[in-house]
Amino acid sequence: MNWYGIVQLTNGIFSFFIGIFVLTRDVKNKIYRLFSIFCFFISIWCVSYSLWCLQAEVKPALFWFKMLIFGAIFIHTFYLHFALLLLDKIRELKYILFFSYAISILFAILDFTPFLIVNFNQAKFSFKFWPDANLLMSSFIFIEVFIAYYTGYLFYREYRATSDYSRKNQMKYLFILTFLGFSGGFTNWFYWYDIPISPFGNVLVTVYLSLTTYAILKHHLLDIDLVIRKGLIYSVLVTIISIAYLLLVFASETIFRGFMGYKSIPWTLSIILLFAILFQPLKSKIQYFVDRIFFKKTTQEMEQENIRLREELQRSEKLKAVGTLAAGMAHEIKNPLTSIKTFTEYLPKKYNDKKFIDKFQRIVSSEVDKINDIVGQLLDFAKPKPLDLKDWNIQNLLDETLDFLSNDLIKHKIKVIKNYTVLNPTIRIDPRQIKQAILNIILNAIDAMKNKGGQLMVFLHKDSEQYKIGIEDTGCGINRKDLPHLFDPFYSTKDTNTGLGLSIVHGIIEKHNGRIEVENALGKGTKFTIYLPKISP
Amino acid sequence: MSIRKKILICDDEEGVRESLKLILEDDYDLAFASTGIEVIDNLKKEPIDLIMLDIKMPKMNGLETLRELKNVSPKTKVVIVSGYRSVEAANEAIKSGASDYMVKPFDTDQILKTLNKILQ
Repeated sequence: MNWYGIVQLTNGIFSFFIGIFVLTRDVKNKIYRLFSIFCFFISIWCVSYSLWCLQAEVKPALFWFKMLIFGAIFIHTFYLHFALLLLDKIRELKYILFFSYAISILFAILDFTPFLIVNFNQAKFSFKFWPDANLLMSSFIFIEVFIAYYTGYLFYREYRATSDYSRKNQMKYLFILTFLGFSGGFTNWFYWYDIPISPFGNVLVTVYLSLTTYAILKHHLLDIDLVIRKGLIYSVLVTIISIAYLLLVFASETIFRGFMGYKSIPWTLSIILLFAILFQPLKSKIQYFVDRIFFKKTTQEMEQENIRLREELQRSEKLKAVGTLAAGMAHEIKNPLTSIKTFTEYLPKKYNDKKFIDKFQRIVSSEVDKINDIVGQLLDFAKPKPLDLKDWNIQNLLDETLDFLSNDLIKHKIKVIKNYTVLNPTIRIDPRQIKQAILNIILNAIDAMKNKGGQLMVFLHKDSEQYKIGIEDTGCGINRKDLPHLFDPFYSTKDTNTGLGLSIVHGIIEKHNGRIEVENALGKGTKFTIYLPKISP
Repeated sequence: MSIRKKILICDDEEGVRESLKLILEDDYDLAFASTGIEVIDNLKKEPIDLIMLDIKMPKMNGLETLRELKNVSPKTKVVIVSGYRSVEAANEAIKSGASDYMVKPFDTDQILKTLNKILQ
């Protein structure tokens, strides 16, 4: 096997494990799934490449060459798909994606006909077999290069457009890495045209894979520079170690072959597997070494630091959340304050008026209770209480919540449309907590419509088992990439939001043995449906 | 002797209604309502010179009531009352035909001066 075969085998193994790693992080996440498929096709390309380099006879060499082309055919398409999903541009650029898939499928079929790979019997530089670039292959090369760099350009465009610091950083690195990784891979095309530039860039694929994985898995981290730096060091180390490891396998196999007198692919694979098992215990040592040398900390210490940072973040987010609620509460406090202020102002003039004194006692005392109640709610928010279940009219609760927010609704030109198919139903709930949940959802809806105004549809239905409360807006919708994190605590796409609101909603509904569903159409609106069981929690 | 002007106070909070009564009862004839629908019904029954209308009320909010009552009685003056200091809401109120926009809690002297000026 020549040097290029060894590098590609390293890439193949590495990309396969990255694919598995990303997939197992969250198999339901479509972005992760697509990135994993992209990695698996890189793996097919790389492993087939190394096996092609290994062959002495034309027939198996041709088979592995066709396999490597098969892998390469799909790499850029799945990468484009992944990028469009990450950038939430599938709908906008669906025709380009469709074109890319169609071209890939067409060339995948052509790959196994005699039309794409021709004259596969000439040695070029350190390769025993190399074909000619006919018109079909040249067309494929052109399209592949175009799609790959176009994907890089999409990252660049997002980098220019976004004002979010961490996303800007992420896009910057993805753009650079796309350019780096694909340019590395494209060094394979020069020999096709007899240009004496060897495929030296294959090693960049490993670097690319490692860095991109880090950017995806950790893109919400604040310190993306640290992540990238760490990713680079890891990738370089993994490359060096993997090459050393492969040389060891290669040497062992040569000795074994000399000793036994024959060669066999199953035996070679067995040796690779054996070394892979032996290699595993080294992994934690390498990780410890990297953390200690480059970051002056062990993984455990970094985890502890992450926990501490997260706790700090939670404390500040909680304070911000309380601040937001306090602003809303201040508005509610104005009414009782108005009464207390006016009555106390008139007290010196009217203290002999029995009627006035009676009213003073009744109204001022009731208004003080109201303020006390509002403060209590504020404290409940800061420190959630267990459920205080009461039989409560849910329709009234919905109306009260809408009234509470009527100023905001007016201010943002939002029209409320109510659709209650069940009138005045009594449900056993904690009214204060359910009100909080509904309030949070409506506040989000207002936020989604605040620039253009719109309609807020509130419905209340019931079926044999449960009540359904729906809140639907005609706002900007939620980005697809944000949907899986919607109920994560402190996950927010807005500078002004705490990211606590929907996680509190989720907690409250779960405590009631209910569930919450979200339907979303970007640019058209979002619909939340709360299901509350008829049987009390 | 001048005829006392009639003011309708509309607020869903009893405390606010009673507070405005304390401030205004010496100078004006007063009527009370706790919803927008009651305001419209009242207007259909008797002429009202000025309505003090809370912006945040159940069923029909202050601005909706304002638009509706202007159809019934275009000459009736309206002062919108709110616990929320908002330029947008004030603009919206003025555009819909309100004469002024007041923020709770009230300054007694200020409220009397404003109403006096509007009703002159």
